[in-house]
Amino acid sequence: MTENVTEINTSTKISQAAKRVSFAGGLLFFILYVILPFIGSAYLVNLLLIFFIYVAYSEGWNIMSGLTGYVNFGYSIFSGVSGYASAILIIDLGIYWPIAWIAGAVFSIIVALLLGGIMLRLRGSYFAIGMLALLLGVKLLFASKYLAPVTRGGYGFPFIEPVSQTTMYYAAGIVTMFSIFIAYKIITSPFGTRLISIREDEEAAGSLGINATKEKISAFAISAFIGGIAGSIHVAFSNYLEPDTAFSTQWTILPIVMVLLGGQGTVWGPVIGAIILTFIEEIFWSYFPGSYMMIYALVMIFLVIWMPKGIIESLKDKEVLPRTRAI
Amino acid sequence: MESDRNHSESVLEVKDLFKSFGSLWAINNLSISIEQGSITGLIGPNGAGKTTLFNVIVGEMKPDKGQIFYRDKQITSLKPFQIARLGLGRTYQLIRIFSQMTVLENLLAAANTNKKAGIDKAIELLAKFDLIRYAHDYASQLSLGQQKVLSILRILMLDADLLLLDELAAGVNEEEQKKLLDFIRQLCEHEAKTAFIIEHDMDVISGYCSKVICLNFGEKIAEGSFEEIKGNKNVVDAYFGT
Repeated sequence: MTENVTEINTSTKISQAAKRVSFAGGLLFFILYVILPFIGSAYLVNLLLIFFIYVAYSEGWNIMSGLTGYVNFGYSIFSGVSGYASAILIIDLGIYWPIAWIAGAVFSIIVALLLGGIMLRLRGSYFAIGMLALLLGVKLLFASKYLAPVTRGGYGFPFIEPVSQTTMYYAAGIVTMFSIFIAYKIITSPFGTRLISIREDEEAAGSLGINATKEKISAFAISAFIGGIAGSIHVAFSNYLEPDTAFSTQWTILPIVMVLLGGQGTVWGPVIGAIILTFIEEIFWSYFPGSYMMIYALVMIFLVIWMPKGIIESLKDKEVLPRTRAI
Repeated sequence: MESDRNHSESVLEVKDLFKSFGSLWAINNLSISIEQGSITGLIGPNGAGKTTLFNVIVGEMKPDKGQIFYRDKQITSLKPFQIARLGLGRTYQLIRIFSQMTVLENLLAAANTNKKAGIDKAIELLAKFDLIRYAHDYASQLSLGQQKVLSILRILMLDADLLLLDELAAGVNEEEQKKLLDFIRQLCEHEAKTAFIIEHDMDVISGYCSKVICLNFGEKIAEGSFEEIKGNKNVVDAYFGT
């Protein structure tokens, strides 16, 4: 029995080493993050700001779709709705921007709770296409004359950010760290285990007393909140708000590709995916300004052929990384 | 009437159950009673409705007519997860463990407690079958026999006390089979559990079941001890034809 307990402890030791590495890496990055605006160029701050938005957004998507396997092709509904809500609160009602951002994200939660009860009855491809169809509908709705008095319809409205680039950079950094932390907490908790079991076999999970509907809706709502905040920051950063950009194709595909590249259902997968794609995107954009989005397609092809599990899971399979959910 | 039911002994009662798929009656006016602490066998040729009966009992399929009572509580319209939480655990004929999750995670998924309590309980269960060393391996890496054990341990994590076991012995070697079934017997005799098992292996049925129910074409054609059943003309006909 002693021997068996030691073996359990060994695995725990590996998890602890992984935690220490994560902590050390995070600490290093945190220091760099704090001092960057003082030592780096505005371009670099801008790039990192985009990166932060991508990471937070992808982590949000990962919490729902990475864990439960319900691939959300309409994630920009949450970021777009929250972006609009927070912009309207700031511009029309003069609300202080951090409060507006959070209020927008809370509004996304409400949308998720309303939609989730219906959409989460669909499985697999039906859910994916259903969410995509819903997204297109929402985009039309926001562009339509019915909501125009509030949303300014298809014309959109200019949004002068009430904060400086640097302040946004710091705020985005905090949101990103928060999103990674939430992902870590969920993935390593019994809640996360239940979500993953839903992905594995939803019916068998039910036979073990797991209320799949409740778990899915909870994950959906958390995912919507994080996506919402990322969306609010994105809108503030973009300076112009209109349905085509708030609910854009790029903004829909982006988290999917980043998470699949990095490793769905992993804590750091979205971060790895965001690092690689932000980097590649910057390069591609300077050479192919019109068609840089083709990198998403190229990455997907690469993944399907060479690395279907994504980077982190592949590294775990090759035993380069320890097999623990903490990473 | 509820007052007529024997409260102290009956764990599961199925009353006048009907289940159809289109024009096919998979379960046709079936009534069954399972006693506390017993191991009851469910036999019958393929297609008799045995697995369908399990599916209906645990709520994965809804019956056309009839009622199901678990400890005098009507469960006919409950959802599977609610029925599981009441204490009915089932295993599947084709094992449905979570293959891309570790053995420990498979058990933790069924736990309804905080993480530490769940892990402690899981380790205790794994220790009984010498499976602790596999705790962090993917469940898909276990042998078939070990996976069968895992599927039982999962429902024990739920604190299930009525175990619906679908062809537990299939595909498992004799030694593992004996260990599994002795474990089930020990649970029923000493830990207040009850087992209702679907089996094709008559050695298992005769060796472990106090009562046997035989189904054919969705109907109960015989019920009694193994000795009483084995010579029953209807049962022999069902398996071998007239």
